[in-house]
Amino acid sequence: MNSAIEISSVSKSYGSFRLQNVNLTIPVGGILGLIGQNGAGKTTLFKCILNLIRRDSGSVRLPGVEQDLSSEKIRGLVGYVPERLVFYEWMTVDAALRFTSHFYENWDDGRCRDLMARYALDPGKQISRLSMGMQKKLALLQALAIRPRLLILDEPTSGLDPAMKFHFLQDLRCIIDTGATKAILISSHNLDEVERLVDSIAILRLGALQFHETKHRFLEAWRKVEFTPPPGVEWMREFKDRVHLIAAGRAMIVTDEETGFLTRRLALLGAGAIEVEQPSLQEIFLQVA
Amino acid sequence: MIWILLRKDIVQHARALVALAASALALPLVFALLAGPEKDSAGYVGFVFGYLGISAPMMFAQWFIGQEKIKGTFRVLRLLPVSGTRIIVTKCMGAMLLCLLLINITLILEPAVCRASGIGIAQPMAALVLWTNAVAVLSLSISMALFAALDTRIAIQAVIWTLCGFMILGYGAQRYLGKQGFDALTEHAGTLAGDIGLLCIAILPLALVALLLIGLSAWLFERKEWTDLEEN
Repeated sequence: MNSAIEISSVSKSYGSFRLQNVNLTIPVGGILGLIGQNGAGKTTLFKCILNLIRRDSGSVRLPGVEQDLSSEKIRGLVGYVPERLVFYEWMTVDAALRFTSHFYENWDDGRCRDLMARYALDPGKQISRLSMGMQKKLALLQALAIRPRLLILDEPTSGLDPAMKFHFLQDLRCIIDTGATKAILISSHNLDEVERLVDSIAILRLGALQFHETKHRFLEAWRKVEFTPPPGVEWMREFKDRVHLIAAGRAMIVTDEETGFLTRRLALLGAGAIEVEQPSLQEIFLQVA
Repeated sequence: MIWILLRKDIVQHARALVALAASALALPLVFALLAGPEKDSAGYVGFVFGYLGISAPMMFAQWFIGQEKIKGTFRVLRLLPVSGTRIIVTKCMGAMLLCLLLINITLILEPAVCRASGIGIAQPMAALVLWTNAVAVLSLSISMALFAALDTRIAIQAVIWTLCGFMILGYGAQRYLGKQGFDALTEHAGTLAGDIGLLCIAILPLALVALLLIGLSAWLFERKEWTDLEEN
């Protein structure tokens, strides 16, 4: 399958933090969800891709585009919405968009106008007077109006209201399906959202890539064993690092191992109502991150 | 690109720029009030030189680079598909253009207008006008390099204390070393400044130093990482 972006052996050290040898590929038409705890290195990886910080080693390639991409060329092809937004706040929405549009060869005015109407952005309003959610919409609009080959979104829906979130996620799927953008790389702490949207999942932990799988294979590999805990604390000692207590007197263990032995052991210890189900991404993340 | 960035910087600092331009345009009147009518043009050039040749370039550097660093808005520019070098060179060119425009209006156009309206300010010598331009370019490149290299607050302190240092040194030398030859030296320097030949010799090294300093500013900015550009 053709890839939209190939990230090979990217490393970056910052004081005691080290992003270690990250390899990622997103196929054309793919949406990759990059998840990890705060400080796992997600934003650092994004900055490495965009050459906003110098990589210690490794390369980033956009197949179909010349091999040796300069920093500015890659920023012309990749739309980026940073977690910490930055604008000239004294500008009006319209002035900011006009200013930005001058720097992009691929700026699409029609798309910009459509999105402005869709996001209900008032062109005459000063950016400093926009709410956080509206500023987020403006950043998204700027990233989408350049018709990017790759879209990188760092916590894109934080600050958006639920209806806007829903529309935004639909839009993302739509721009991939219509081929307007070849691939999307998204990082979000809202794992339900990620699970609904993405095709593949990568988990970063302490700067190292732990998993990189298609969503289907990733979720299929895990099982959740839910049970009513037996009386006493004996069982807790045996499973202490793996068990999560959930509501209504139930507990669960998320595992990528064969569940037969686990369920038999729990039954032997006196656990009741044992059920084996497929866990959500959120539940798996609790286990691995 | 130079016009887009220059327009952005002009709109962003419109009030400060208007205040600077208004004060610059008022310089002949202030000079005439302070020095009386029909004073020598060298005095007027000295007056403009101190304000627009030395101080104004520092203000431009603070507005065009310092403010972007303080507010963290260099990140807006860094996200655009433009190299850091082009951004800094463009900003330097824009600031230079505005600065030289102000100097030449004040030194060439205004004395002529003043004379036509009865305020007697002699037309400055061409060599003195050119020296003022050359020093302004050098002063602007030094300021840009300072603001690109240092934290804005430190750069402002450095600029203020350097200016104070020069003023104190100048005053002290005139006050205490005047009779020991300092007055003669300044008089000689004034004569030399009027020598167009010397200016022609000096202009090339001055331009080279200015270019090197602008290059240094661009190199320093290019080396800055995203985290260094966040608000401070």
